Amino acid sequence: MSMGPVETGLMIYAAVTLYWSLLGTYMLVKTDVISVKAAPIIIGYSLFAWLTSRIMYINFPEIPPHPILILSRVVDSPQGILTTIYVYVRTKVIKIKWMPYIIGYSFFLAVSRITMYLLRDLPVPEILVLPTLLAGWAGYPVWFYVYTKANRVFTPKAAYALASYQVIVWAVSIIMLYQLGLPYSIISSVQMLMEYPSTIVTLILVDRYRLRNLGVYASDEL
Amino acid sequence: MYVEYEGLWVAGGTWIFTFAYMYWVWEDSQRHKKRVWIWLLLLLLAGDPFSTLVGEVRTLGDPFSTFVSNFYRYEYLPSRGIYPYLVPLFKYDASHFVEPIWVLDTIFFWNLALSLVDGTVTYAVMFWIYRDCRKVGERATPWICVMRFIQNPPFPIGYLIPLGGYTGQIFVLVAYILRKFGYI
Repeated sequence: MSMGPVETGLMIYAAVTLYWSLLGTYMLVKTDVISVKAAPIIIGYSLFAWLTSRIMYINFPEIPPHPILILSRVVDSPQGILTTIYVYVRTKVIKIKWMPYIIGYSFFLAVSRITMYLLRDLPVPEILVLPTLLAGWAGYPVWFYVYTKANRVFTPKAAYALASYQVIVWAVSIIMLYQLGLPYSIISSVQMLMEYPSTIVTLILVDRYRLRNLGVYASDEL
Repeated sequence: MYVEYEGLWVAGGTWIFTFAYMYWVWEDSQRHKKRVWIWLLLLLLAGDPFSTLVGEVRTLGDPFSTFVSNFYRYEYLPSRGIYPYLVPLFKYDASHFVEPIWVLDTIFFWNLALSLVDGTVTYAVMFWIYRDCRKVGERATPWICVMRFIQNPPFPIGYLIPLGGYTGQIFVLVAYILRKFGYI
């Protein structure tokens, strides 16, 4: 069986993916991030995620985006959990009950994907901008569960302030899109700038919560 | 030719390293009971994914690079009055690739080979420093975060301090060893 250039290229990239997966998993095991038993799962998932995204790209190169966006976030979601919640819980930064978290996360992930599907017929570029904005909001309840219910990272006042700020960010994006008619390149730059304050405040609050639990901060006030 | 399917040529598996050093940074900061948010901010500015209150995995990155990358993304060209959707939908067909352009392909795979070397050196140095710090009871977070930051700094820092690839990691490794043996 002879392989064409595309097949050859894909085989090379599959080998590279396998290399990164093996090397990364080796480091995870050697530094006690995961157990040896979990290693095959991580390697298998990593290869599966790569293969799925390649198959989607072959069938939908660049456009149309919705099948890719809908499926990719579902396939990528374990990565998000591992790199954030798992790390937080395993290093004892926060505590959660896994079952309510997984159920809540899966539910709101489904909500965001259905939202995106329902909005699939919107004209370009709104097809990319609006669903992203709307679907992003589906993640809020789970984070509120993690930060305010399961752990008291935020006081209610701080949580409301951050939520209000996100509303403003969302409104500014809508105004830029519909009122000002700005191109997406500018909208995305402004969005990125507007992420700085809430991200930095969130990082500081999580850090203070963590240090307070470790006994570094005596005060319970934020 | 390969370059027409540029978006197809993406290797997977590197997310595992993000997972690893995010864990190392938090674990190290817990053990030493030190602040971590400033160091995490460096990681975010280097474009690493991190979930915040907003609930989606996202990066901070820099606004300039975001502008440039989205300016040329052709899904968004209609917002600038250009309508690529008016042409028939391009469908994948391997028979379009009968004659590879070998020069471009060679450059392309040479870059792939270099990225393997860069990545391996970078993650190996991070891994070694983290384990060494854990063994001797030193703090690893600043080293890990600086290594990741200089690998992919936001505009224009990358132009002012060109230490991308594995060059910066070698500097950090030498600095770490000098510090370890009391020279700095």
